[in-house]
Amino acid sequence: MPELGGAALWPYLIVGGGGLLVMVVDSFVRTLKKDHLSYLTMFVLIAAIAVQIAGETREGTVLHGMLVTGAYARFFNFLFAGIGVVTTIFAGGIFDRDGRHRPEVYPLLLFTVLGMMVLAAANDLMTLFLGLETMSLATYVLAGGVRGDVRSSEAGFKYLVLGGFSSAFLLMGMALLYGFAGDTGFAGISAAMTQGEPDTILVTLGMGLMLVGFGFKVALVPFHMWTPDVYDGAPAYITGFMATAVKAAGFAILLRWVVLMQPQLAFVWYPVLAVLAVLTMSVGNVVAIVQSNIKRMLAWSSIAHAGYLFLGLLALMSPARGGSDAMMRTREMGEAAGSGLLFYLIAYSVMNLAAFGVVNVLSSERGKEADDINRYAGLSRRRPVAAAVLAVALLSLAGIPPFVGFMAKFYVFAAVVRAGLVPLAIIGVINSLVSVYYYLRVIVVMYMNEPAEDSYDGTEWVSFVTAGALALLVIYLGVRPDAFHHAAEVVVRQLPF
Amino acid sequence: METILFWLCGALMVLGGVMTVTQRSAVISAVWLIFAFVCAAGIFAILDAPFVAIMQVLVYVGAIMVLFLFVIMMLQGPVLDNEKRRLLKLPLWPAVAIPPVAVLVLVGGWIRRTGTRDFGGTVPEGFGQPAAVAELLLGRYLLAFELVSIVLLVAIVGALAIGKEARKLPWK
Amino acid sequence: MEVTLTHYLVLATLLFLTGMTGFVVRRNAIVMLMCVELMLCAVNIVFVAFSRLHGDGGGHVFVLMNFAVAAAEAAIGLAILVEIFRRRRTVDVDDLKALME
Repeated sequence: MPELGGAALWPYLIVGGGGLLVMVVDSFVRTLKKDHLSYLTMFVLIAAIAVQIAGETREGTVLHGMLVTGAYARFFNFLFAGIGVVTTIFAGGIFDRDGRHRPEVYPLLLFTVLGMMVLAAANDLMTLFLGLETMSLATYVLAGGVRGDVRSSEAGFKYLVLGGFSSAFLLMGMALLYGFAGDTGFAGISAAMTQGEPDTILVTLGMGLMLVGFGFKVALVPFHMWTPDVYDGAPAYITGFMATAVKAAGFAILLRWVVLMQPQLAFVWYPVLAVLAVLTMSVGNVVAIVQSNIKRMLAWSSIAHAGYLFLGLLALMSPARGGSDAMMRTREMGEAAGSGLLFYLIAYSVMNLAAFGVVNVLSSERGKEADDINRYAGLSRRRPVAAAVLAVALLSLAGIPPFVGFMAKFYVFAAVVRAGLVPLAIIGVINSLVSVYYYLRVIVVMYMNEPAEDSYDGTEWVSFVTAGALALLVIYLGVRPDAFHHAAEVVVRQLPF
Repeated sequence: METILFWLCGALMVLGGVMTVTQRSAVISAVWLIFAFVCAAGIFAILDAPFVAIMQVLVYVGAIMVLFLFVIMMLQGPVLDNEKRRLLKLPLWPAVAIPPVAVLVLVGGWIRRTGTRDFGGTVPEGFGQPAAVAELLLGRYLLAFELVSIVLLVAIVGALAIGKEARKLPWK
Repeated sequence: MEVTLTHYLVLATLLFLTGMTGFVVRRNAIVMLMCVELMLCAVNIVFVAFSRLHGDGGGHVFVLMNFAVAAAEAAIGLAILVEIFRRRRTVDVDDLKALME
């Protein structure tokens, strides 16, 4: 791959410099209503998207092979910046309503997005680690930094302590891989791996430990304990951001890493990963059924969705098990699985953001979150638009056609079947049938029950319009998925298999 | 010489780690951890990493552990002896003890099978000296160097934002 | 006896396991953070040992990055902890029950 000039770095510089700019503006412009910060943040993110569209499109490495730019990085940069814009809108709405401004949210949001962009483009263990930590540290503060809210502080602390614990495992894995290859760059590692040195125990162990770290970030089942508590304790606009962008970032690096490590990973850890995927789907869906708190329910559902996404990864690496004959078919099957995975990430982000957008703006009193499912009673009569948006988002999450959730699951499960993993696909389908129950329950409460005295209400129209637009996108992508799915295919084709 | 230093630093470091974990008082734990970190600096020094060894003392012992001690002192009182309910209930001990023991057995078996591995060869001239590290830090790893500044900035913003009282905004 | 790479790796393993066990066993949040630092220290020893093995300075740079990230993590963690202590008067993780159902 050619080494590109600094022009490829513009999106990263804009987002990072934008974070600094927002901080400086915040300290010099002393108004109580901090509207200008959210506009500035949105402007920065949109500028990053614009530069990305106009700028460098070639594949190549930047700064001595630390980052790799190209279609894959661009895809995720668009996704992260888009989620960032939507989150900024939701956050601004809440600050307006409650009057409790958190000016630090905007720079931290930008730094989180920067960390994710670096993570998706990482081409070196060190950039991987630093991108991950930039993202994580900023997220800990976003989740745990609501002043005077003990629930938020506890959520932040749990996230931080368990996150630090898991990144120790990740680092140990990286140290062992470094010891194996003698180089921190992905290129050096894959070169050392194809030479087939006998020292495979380091690789196997290193990859296993790194999987623990990644598994924590995307909430795979034995490493998911933090998810419900953190999603519950963080404010809803941050929960929406964590459920979509952080998870997408985790899968962005997992996908690249799986492609890089494919042969060795497939041989040794494949059965373990298959069991984890099944466990993740099943535990997520079964526990979500008994939740009475909508944020916890969405947290468990996000765990289940991590399981579906992981099925895509399994399909991607499965051919490598079959020896040289199966390797011939690898490319095509890998592309189907990878593009299904990327499409699922878009779909999942859009529908989850719509759901959290509605949860975010509903409230019964200042500073309280609308998290009790029973108090959504009669929402369809009080706020028909909000109820409709939430219903669309939940039906889509359940995977019911014609919404985008169905198409996303269809692409992933089709790739899984093509890879010859029919039992896994069947378990996945059974799981999505189970999930229909708890999503529908919320809809039943909204549409069938009479509104009660303490039912939730909300008036923040900008957020409603944004969530409504996302819901329209859910429907549009469900009916016409081809353009986006094709884009995902093009992106995956660029990955070096 | 190297052998003696290794066994000395290594043994003391493991002692420091074990004491950190087993001491009830957070202050004493922190002091043992500082002890372990100083021994780690010794280990780095034996491994031809003088710059890292210095940084271990300056950053870990001098900054991070002082921060820990400072917070422990600040929260004085109930913090120190809050573990009256014993650490864990008895039936849970095997669950906690089995994974580490299993790992150690596996590592032992692995060494028995493959034997120890020597470092072999010599390191390049100036290896691990500040100049060599700086060349990498500002050359190949420039991006990492810049990113870590963002990480630290996030930490500053975050700590300020969390610590600041909502009502005490300067212009109110 | 000659000190080999394996010796350093075993030392790091011992420390890592000590930190891990401590993290699981201890209930004092500050001590749990310290146990994570101990695990990171074990990782650093592995990095430096492999750096020596390959004669490559990348491991040293990685260790320096670890220092900075560990410091950042400690700063944020302790800030949140102080905030929790202000409201709750405790740093015992068993008492952090606001999020349990």
